[in-house]
Amino acid sequence: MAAEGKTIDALSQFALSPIVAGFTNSNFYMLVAAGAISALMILGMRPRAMVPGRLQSLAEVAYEFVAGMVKEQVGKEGMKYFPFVFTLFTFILFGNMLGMLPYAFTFTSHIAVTFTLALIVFILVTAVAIAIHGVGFFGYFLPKGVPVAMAPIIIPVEIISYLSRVVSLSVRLFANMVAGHVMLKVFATFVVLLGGLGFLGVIGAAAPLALNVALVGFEFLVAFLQAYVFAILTCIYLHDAVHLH
Amino acid sequence: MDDPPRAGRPESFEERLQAARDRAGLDGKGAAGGGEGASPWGLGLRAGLEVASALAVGVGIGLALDGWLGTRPLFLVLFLFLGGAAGVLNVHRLILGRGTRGSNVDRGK
Repeated sequence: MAAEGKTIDALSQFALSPIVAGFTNSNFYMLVAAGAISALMILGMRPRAMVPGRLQSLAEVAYEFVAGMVKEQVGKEGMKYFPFVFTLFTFILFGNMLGMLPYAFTFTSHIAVTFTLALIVFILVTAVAIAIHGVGFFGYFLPKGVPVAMAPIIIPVEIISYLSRVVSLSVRLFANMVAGHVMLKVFATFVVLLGGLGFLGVIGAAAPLALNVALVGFEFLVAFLQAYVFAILTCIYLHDAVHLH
Repeated sequence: MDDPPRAGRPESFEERLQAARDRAGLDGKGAAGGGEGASPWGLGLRAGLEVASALAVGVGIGLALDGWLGTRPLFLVLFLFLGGAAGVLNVHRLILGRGTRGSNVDRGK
């Protein structure tokens, strides 16, 4: 659908198209991601082999990667939040990776999706902090050792800083996915447009094609890295909520 | 996942594995963590995003308060500056960690 005309249409790939009324391609790929994750964990762990096979290794590596991250960032007591972080990490990872398949839709490229995920993290982290520390949580907004006279300035600044986590967390994932897919589409369109220019064009098209090959590799890195960053920031926020400093 | 130390073995499997990994140099520094903060580009983009998002939240609160109280542009101006300050605070924490508040060493790397 890239270059029917002579224009570069980089954004149509993010358009939602309803499969059934109220159920879009975005929803479909969310279900695919959830299904693939479940299949990986359930089928992968079925053999319960001492020496794991390929699928079981993958499942174990995924588990240990997230478990290590939670333990390192939040601490041993943070393992109660492991299911949440694991779900979040695998969902975003599979969303990003599914988006790398040709013709697939990247549901993490919509701010509505990433903002909702960030909001879930934010609400959970705040709820955890209040559940553990009660009213003491609000002391978070006035660091120790700050003169009382400074409180009218420091408290709003701290509250804005706290609230801005939702924005930065969601925009980071959303912007990375959009930017990457737009770049891929733009260079892919260059290949098609140049290819239509005859023999010299075909030779010229080799450059954007080579670049796109590199970009695809880079996008796989970004797909993993952004899922990792989202998960590790969640862990850091959980650490702040549990230890409150 | 930690194996208990087995009888007759001086160390647990995890410890021997760690020793082997250290010998092979598999856990060099920067192997874990770092993320996108590792490259100057990533760090710069992250810092910019932190400022922008804090500003956006500040402006959002300001506009909401103004709309509610009918005092446009009072709170917009006030929270624009507070948002900017929060953005600087975010970047400060991104680079230096949470400072005096604790020892969260994972932040500033």
